[in-house]
Parts: sequence; C-alpha cells; structure tokens
Amino acid sequence: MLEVTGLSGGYYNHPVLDSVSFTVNKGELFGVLGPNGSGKTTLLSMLSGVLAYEAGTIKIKGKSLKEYSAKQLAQVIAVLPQHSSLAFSYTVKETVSLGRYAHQKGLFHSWSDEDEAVVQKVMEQTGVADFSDYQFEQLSGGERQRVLLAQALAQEPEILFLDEPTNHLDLSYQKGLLDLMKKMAAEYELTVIAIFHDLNLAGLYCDRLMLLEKGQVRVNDIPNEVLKQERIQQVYRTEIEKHPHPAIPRPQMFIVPNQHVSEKEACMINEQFLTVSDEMVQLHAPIPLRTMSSGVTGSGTGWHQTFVNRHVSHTYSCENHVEEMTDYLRSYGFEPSETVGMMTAVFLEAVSYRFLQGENFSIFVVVTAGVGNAVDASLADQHSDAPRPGTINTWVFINGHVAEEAFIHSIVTATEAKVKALHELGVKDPVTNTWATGTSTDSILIAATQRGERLQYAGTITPLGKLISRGVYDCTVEAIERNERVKRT
Amino acid sequence: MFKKAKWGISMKKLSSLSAVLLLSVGLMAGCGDSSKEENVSTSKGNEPTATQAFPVTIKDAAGEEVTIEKEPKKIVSLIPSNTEIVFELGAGDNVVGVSDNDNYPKEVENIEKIGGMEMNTEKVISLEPDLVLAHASNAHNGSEGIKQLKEVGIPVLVVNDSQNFEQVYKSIEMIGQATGENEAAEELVQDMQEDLKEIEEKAKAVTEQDRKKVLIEVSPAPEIYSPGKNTFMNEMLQMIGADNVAGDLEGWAKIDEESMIEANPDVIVTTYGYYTEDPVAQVKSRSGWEDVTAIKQEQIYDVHSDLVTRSGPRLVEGVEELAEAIYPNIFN
Amino acid sequence: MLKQSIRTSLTNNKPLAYIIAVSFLLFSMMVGISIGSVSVPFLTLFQILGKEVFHLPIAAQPDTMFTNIVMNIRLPRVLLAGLVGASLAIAGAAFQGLLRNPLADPYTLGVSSGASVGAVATIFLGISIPVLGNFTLPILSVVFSIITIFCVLFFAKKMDRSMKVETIILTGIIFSSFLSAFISLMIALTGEELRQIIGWLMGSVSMRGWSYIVIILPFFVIGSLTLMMNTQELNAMTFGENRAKHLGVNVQRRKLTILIAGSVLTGAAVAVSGTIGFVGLVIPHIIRQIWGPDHKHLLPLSLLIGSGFLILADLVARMVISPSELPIGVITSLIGAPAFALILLKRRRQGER
Repeated sequence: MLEVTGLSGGYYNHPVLDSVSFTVNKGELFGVLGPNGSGKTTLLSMLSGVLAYEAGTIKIKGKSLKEYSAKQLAQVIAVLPQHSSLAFSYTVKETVSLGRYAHQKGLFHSWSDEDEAVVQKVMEQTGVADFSDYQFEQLSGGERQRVLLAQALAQEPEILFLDEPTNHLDLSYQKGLLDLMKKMAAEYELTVIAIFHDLNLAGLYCDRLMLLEKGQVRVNDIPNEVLKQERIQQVYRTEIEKHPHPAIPRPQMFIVPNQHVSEKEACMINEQFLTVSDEMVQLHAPIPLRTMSSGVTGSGTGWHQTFVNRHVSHTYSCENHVEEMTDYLRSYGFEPSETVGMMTAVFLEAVSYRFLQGENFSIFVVVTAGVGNAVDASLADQHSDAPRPGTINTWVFINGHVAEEAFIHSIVTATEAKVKALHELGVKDPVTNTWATGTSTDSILIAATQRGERLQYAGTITPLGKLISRGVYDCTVEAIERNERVKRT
Repeated sequence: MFKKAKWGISMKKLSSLSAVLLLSVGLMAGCGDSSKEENVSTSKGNEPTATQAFPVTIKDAAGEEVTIEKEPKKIVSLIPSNTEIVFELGAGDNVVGVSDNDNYPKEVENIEKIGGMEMNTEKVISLEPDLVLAHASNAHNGSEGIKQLKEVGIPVLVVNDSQNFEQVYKSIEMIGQATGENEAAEELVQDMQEDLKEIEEKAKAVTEQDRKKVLIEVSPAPEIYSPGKNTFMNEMLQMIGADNVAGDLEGWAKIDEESMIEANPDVIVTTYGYYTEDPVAQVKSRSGWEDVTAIKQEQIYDVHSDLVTRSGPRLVEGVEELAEAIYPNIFN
Repeated sequence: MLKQSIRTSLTNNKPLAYIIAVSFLLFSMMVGISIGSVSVPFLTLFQILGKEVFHLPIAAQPDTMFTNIVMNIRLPRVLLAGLVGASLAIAGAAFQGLLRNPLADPYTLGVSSGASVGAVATIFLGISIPVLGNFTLPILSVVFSIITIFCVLFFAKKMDRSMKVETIILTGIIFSSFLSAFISLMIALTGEELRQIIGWLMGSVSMRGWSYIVIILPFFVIGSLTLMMNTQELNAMTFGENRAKHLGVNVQRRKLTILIAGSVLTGAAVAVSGTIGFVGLVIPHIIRQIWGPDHKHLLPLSLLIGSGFLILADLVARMVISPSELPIGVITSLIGAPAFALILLKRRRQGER
C-alpha cells in the first residue's frame, strides 16, 4: 500500500529525516514512535504531501506521491491532525461534508445523494450524528476530534494518517477511537498509520511499530520486539520497566519515577509491627510492601501495607467468602484493596513468629498452623471438594529488594520447609492415612520491602533460601505444636 | 469628466512632485535657506511724508490695535487680494514679499514668494518687512506664525475678509490707511462704486421675462460646487439682474445633477478654465444635459476665477464680464 | 426559545434567504430609480422604463427632461451603485474567507490604495491619454490596482515561498501604507484640485454615466464568476491551508486565483467610484451571522445584499440634504460603523449565553 525508500529531508536548512525506509501493507495498523524531535511529524507531513522532501521515494498503491494531483491524493489519503484551527463557525454536518470535496465533480461542486449517504454513515461511525446541527465551536475537544475524524473518513480514504490522535481525549474516547480504527482496519481494510506518544497505547493496538531516533529508523517490527526495555530506555533516555498487559498478550512500559532519599531509607519489618489478638493477627508495615500471595483479599501480586490473619469458627462456611471477608475488613477500618487478608480456624494464640538475620538482609516469618484438614497431595483425588477447617497460613516478610523470580523461589522453598515440618511431626492425612504434605486450605504470603540488598534468588541453598527454610520450618513446627496444646485445653 | 490637459502632464506639478520626492529620498541637507536679504540702508528713514498719516493705529480684523510708526517701505502681503489692492493704490514698489498664489499684476512674478496656505515665517522675517498684511480668512491658519512675527517686532495687520462689496471697500480703506495712501483708497472706492452703479442702472433694462437663470460652477464635474448666499458671485448676479440657481443655498453648495437639470439654467458660467482644459466642451458633452437651455443654446462661458472670487479691485471687472456673458445685448 | 427556533429555521432555509436577498435588491432598485431630487411622477416613470428599457409600445410621450433624468442620470447611477456594492461585498466575503479573518476587507491587501494613487495622480498631474480621453482616470486607476496586486504577491512570494496568508496580509499593509503616503503627498502639494481629490477619495457614483458601467461590467462578471467557482475551496481553507491540502484542495493555485479575482473586483470598483468603505467589511459579516459561513451561499448573498445596500446608501447620500449631495463613503461609514458595533455586541452576548 505504502512504500517509502530512502526518504530524507526537512525544513529549509534543517534536515530532519535521514534515509527512512519502510512498507505498510493494506489493512495494517502501523504505529510511529519516537522521542521529541525524532522526525515523526515531519515524516507524516511528507507522506501526506504537505511538505516537500529532498531525497527518496514515496509510493502509494505503487504510484509515486508526486504523480497524484491534490484531489486524487485526497481520495486515497486522509489526515487527522493534532490541532484544529477554525476561523468561522461551521456546523458539524458542514464540517464533515467538506470531506467530500475530493470526490465532487464539476465547476460548481454539486452535492449528490452518494455524498449525503457517506456523510451520514461516517457521522454514525464516529458517534457525532447527534451533533449534526451543532456549531463546531460548541463541542468539547474530544467531540471535535471525532468530527474531524468523520471529516477524514468522509474522504473514503484507503490510508488514514493520525497525528497523536489521543492527545486531547479522555480514557473512554481514547479507547473508542482506537477500537474504531482497529475495527475499520479489520472490516474495511483501512490502512492506518498513526504517530503515538503513548507507547502503551501503541503497543496495545498496533500490528507493527516503527521507532524513529534522530531522523532514522531504529527498529521496525511487532510491538513485543520493538518495546524492549533496554532499547526503549536507551532511545527515550529514561528508566522504564516492561510488563505484560494483565488481560491481553501485549507489552506495557512503565516509567519508574526517581525515588526521593526518604523513599530509599532502609526499613526493617519485625515483631514490633505485629499485633496478636483473639480475632486476628495483624501486621502494619510502615511502607507498602511488594507482595505475592494467595490470600482471600489482596491475592496475586501487588503492593500492600496491611496484613490480616483472621480467626473464624470451624463451622464457618460462606458462599461468598471474599465479599464477607471484605465487609469484615472494612468494618474494622481496613481498606480491603490494600490489605492481604487470610482466614483460619486456628486459635490465634498459637501463632509462631521468628526474626532471622542474614548477611545484609533479614526476614520475619509468621505462621499459624492447624492440621485438622491435612492432605497428602499425591492422593488428593481421594478427598472430596468440600473444604474443612484447618489451614496453615505462612507469612514471610523479607527486608531486602527481591527480584520477581525470587518471589516464586521463596514460595517453593517455604513450601518445601512446611512439608518437612509436617513430616517431622508425623502429621497424617486423615482420609488416606498417609503422610500429609499440607492442608487443603493453605495460604502463603511473601512480602518484601524492596529496599536494601538485592536478592535475585531464593532457592534452598541461596542465602535467602536458607533463611526462609529455617524460619518456615521452625515456625511451622512450633505453630502446630502450640495449636495441639491449645486444642487440648 | 475630470479635468484634462493636453496629452501629457502638468509639468509644473510633475516637477514639484519629483522635486519633493528627490528631496525626501536624498540627503536632507541640514542647512536651511539662509539667503539673507541685503540690508537695505534706511536712509529714507525719518523723512516726514507729505500726508502726515504716521504714526497710525488701526484696529484690524482680529481686534488688535496695530500701530505703524512710519510709512512702510517693505510690505509683505500674505494673500493675493491684499497685493492687488496695494498695487492698485500705487504702493506696489514697496512690496517685497507675496504669497505663492499671487499672479497679478505682472510685477509680482519678480517678487520673493513667502509660502502658500502656510506662510514661511523665516522667509518673511528674512525680508525685514515693516508691515505684514495678513487676512482674516487664513489668520487662524497662520496665527502661530503671526505671533512669531509680532514677537520680532514686525507690525502685522489682519485685513478683514469680505463676503460683499461693502466689506471690500472697508478692506481697501484699511490698507490705504496702513500704507499711507488714504486718498488713493478713497478714489478707488468711489470708482468702484460708480462702475457698479452703472451696471445696476443698465440692469434695470432687464425685464421679468428676459430674466435669466444662471448656474455658476466653480469646480469641474463630478465635484460641481456652486456659490450660494453670502458669496460675491451671488451678489454680482443680483446686481446684474440674473437669478442664481444656487441662490437658496448657503455658501459653496454641491448640487446634485438632477436638480441642476431640473433648474434648467439659461446660462452656465464656469470659473475653472484656468486650470482645466476646455471647460465649455466638457459641459456641453455631459450626457443627460442635452435638453438644458444653456446647452441647447450654447450659452456656456468661462470667466477667470480670480476676477470673481478675489476680494480686490478687479471684482468690478468680474461683474462686467459676467454681465457681458449673461446679457450680451444690454452690456456692450 | 421560540425566537431561537424561528431563527434556526430561517437560517437553514436557504431558498428563503435568496428570496429575501433578491427582493431586497429589487426593492432598492425600484426605490433608487423612483426617488430623486427631481420628483418624477410614478406613471411617467413606468412609461419611461417601459419604453426605453423594455421597448414596450407605449403611446405616451414623457417629457424629455424626465426621460433624460431617468435614463441618463438615475438609472446608470443606480446600476453603478449596485455593481460597485456587489463587487465590494463579494470580494470582501472572499477575502474574509481566504485570510481566515472576519475583520478583513477588500482594502486589506492594498489594492484600493493602488487604485487611489492612479486616480489621484491623474487628477493631480492632469494626465490625459488621447485614446482614452475622459476615461483616463478610471482606466489608469485599474491599471495601478493591477500593478499593486502583482507587486504585493511578488513581494509576498519573496518573503515566504509558500505565501502563507499571514505573509500576504503583511505585504498588503506595507504597500497600503506606502501608497497612502503618496496620496497624502499629492494632497499636500495640491492647489485647486483639492476638492476633486478629496471628493474622489470619499467615493461617489454621481455624474459617472453609462460608460463607467461599461468599464466595471467585464471585471465584475469575470471576478464574481471566478469567486463563485471557488466557494468549496474557501470553505476548506478556513480550516487552515494544510487541512485544505489534505482535503484535496490545490491550495497554491486556488489561493492565487481567489486573490487575483477579488483584487480585480476591488480595483475595478474603486476605479469607477472611489474608496467606499465598510461595504466589503460589514455586509459579508452580517450575512455570515444570519445565514452561516458556507461560502457557497455567503458569496452570492453578499453580492445581492451588498448591491441593494449601496443603492440605498446612494439614495440617502443624495436625498438627505437635497439638492445638495453627501459623499456616499460618508453614508456607508455612518451606517456601517454603528452597525458593526451592534453586530459585535450581539455576538458577545450570544457567546456569553
């Protein structure tokens, strides 16, 4: 559809683009990225025929750009600009109708039924049909953008150029516009070439991305390849973290703000932050901790500052235990979205906790353990689905900067230690009468201050792993023994 | 339609225009015109004149009491009518400065020019006059300049403006007093009055039926202005026994075309022939005027503007010319 | 609320707009021809018009004086006023659209100053070209105006290759000031011609005759038609030159076409009637307020209403102190300035609502 080779040029004596080459196929959503001054807008101006270029070729549908007359070009290419300046107040319909200029024939430009039909259609598509008689000036920035989009679509173009189309739009309009672009590319084979400032939006929607740096093509590939953390950090000269989108397989880039000195001070989680009562064991951290957990609330990965282990009666059974837990937390003044909440039938006076010091880091382990519902994982299918009270809730607080993989290692290491503890105490699966490996409702929390020593690994023989194994084993043993004693009294 | 000269352009205008342009484009030499008049010895200084008219104090048209110590030997006139009166009174030899617009009598061609509507104060002072004859019609224009002259000690006499003959006589008498030519002034006034009386007598021969309607045009189409009440020409027409088409309007009036045609004048008099080519032919060729009496009977005459607008002694000539043009049977 | 909906339906009803405009023009013409310092009886008027204009076989013989007045004085005067008003209004509308500025008028680009220099120089220097005779003045005036247009465009191109509209306005102002200086110079040096010069500068359609209509007519026809063929382009260009280009307009070519057509219209109008102000500024403005900025209708409606307006203004100029006349430029300014102020006030109030 669009073929660019060796394009160079700029303004007067100021060269901007240097030998830019790329191709865009029909129906593609092609994104152009780059820091300020990299030449994105210049490129767009050249491609749309507004700015002259010094060297190279631009071919649209196989024909050189220069061979198109103004009207012919407007039938193939339409542009949605960043800014719109308007001297006089036209109505929305009048504005959109101007898009038909390129298709009108004759000296006096008569208006045909076809023109009318197209205008109605594009106004529907962009959701501005209701504003048909309103004055353009009366509309908000987002509405105006949509009207101008309708105007561009009225040209019935095959290629649509967008210049930072989501700049003035709020979230819903951003999504709406890009969803529409995606739909049109899919259904009508509209080729869309858009300049983006927002890397994430570009990554979410585009089929391919081209990254410009100082007027040259840095890379031209699929989003996942282009949006590589190191490259982006280099080109944009800023700290970035890359993460996958939680819902779809697309990359997202997050900037990392510079941290103020106070935000880097060391922080030590230990028993001074722990409070134990009959109803709950709670820990309030002075700063939000990076967590990975399987609690009732706050599960998954996140940042949390409050941790609650709640005692429930062994007859507790609830259809919607998440909601119930949420209300419970709220009634105690906790913010459910910032709290990792767990529950257990164990009597909380049986809690066991230990602080362990490593070489440049430390951990704090808290365990409550009841083994009434112990399960041998290898024979789990012999159990019914109905959960029974019990539960081993393990909390590991790490005072250090823990890498993502280390979180997962920590969970594995802690679990191995827990299994060994059960084995040592001879805990048996009541159903299968074999050694138990855990209970049916175990929960684990790994929380890190993300300050201080960098801890890349947490396998069993690593420094962190050793501490976790020791701490979890000791606490789990102690917690089970205490619980047995409490039950007897 | 608009005035035209022969193929070409008014050379005088073109040269003045280019001169000004060249001056503004080129260097502006700092030195002004520093030509000084030779200090003419005033050996005639304290000679007593025969009439003993000096020193004389005159209340001028500006209300000022102007004292002239002795008979002025160096007179500067700021307006042509003053000049003509001075010459007519026989004191023309004493005139050392006249305005740019002066053109009568011939002698003024060799006299120093001191400016047009705005007088060149420096020039006037450089001539070292002992009398400056200003005029009420442009006194306010030059009041700053006049003040400057007075500050230097030059007597400035503001001669009254004239809308009718009575006032002309008054101005002649004032100038006569100022120049020490009282007798000549009296004579002149008498002559004028007599001549005019003669004309009025002859005009009595004009019967009601013979009375003619006259349209006077003082500027060419399409800006045709006609003199109405309180103008000389209006008075002149009355004297001659003719009807002024513009007689009901005040001062200089712009009459619209339709009304002029409707008025159907018998005679059309133009006064702009001295700067317009063939005014008679222009008037004749106006479309839509074919049936106007004056056109049909070719009663279109041009009278020199100076004779009928300048409030000086030649006004009588003007009346005579008008009379001849309008009633040729009665006047010569 | 009711008023608003009436207004909206009036606004949107384009055929109604044309009916109103044409009626206004016809009304003005009738009134202009019927009224004058010489009162022509209606019957006579119709007889004259019927005979001379429509060549109807009418037995009556109207008075030749009346015939002369109507056919040779009033009719050409009314027609000339109409043509000049139409030219200035449509040129004004086009310039406002092209320059994207509702405060522009046909004189912004200096064309009228050029025409004025030509005319004033003719009066001042007493120029007369043998072949042209009496028409030396308007013809020279047109020639000067055309020279001015080309100078302005040439200069603008030198300053800015893409000839952005802002550059052209600037160049126009420069030339306008420069040429006005010339006019002032000639006024300062003039003697007897002062009245003629000032009279011409204040604008007039009196004592021009049919020949002047012949001079302006071809420019009027060509200029207006050209402008009306570019209405869609004008619409597109109000969104900015880049946007217009994206919509498919050949901006460079159209811009030049509109500039030249508008300037020629203005130059011709000024050449035959002097500098009559406000028509080119206020009329398109009013039309736009009532019937919207779509140039497809704005241009022809401006033409019609501008025409009627100037005919009426001329009527007032020659009747208000009859039999004396006022310069028509004075009337248009006296009406135009307060009218403009009213429009702006109303606009502000609407905006605040």
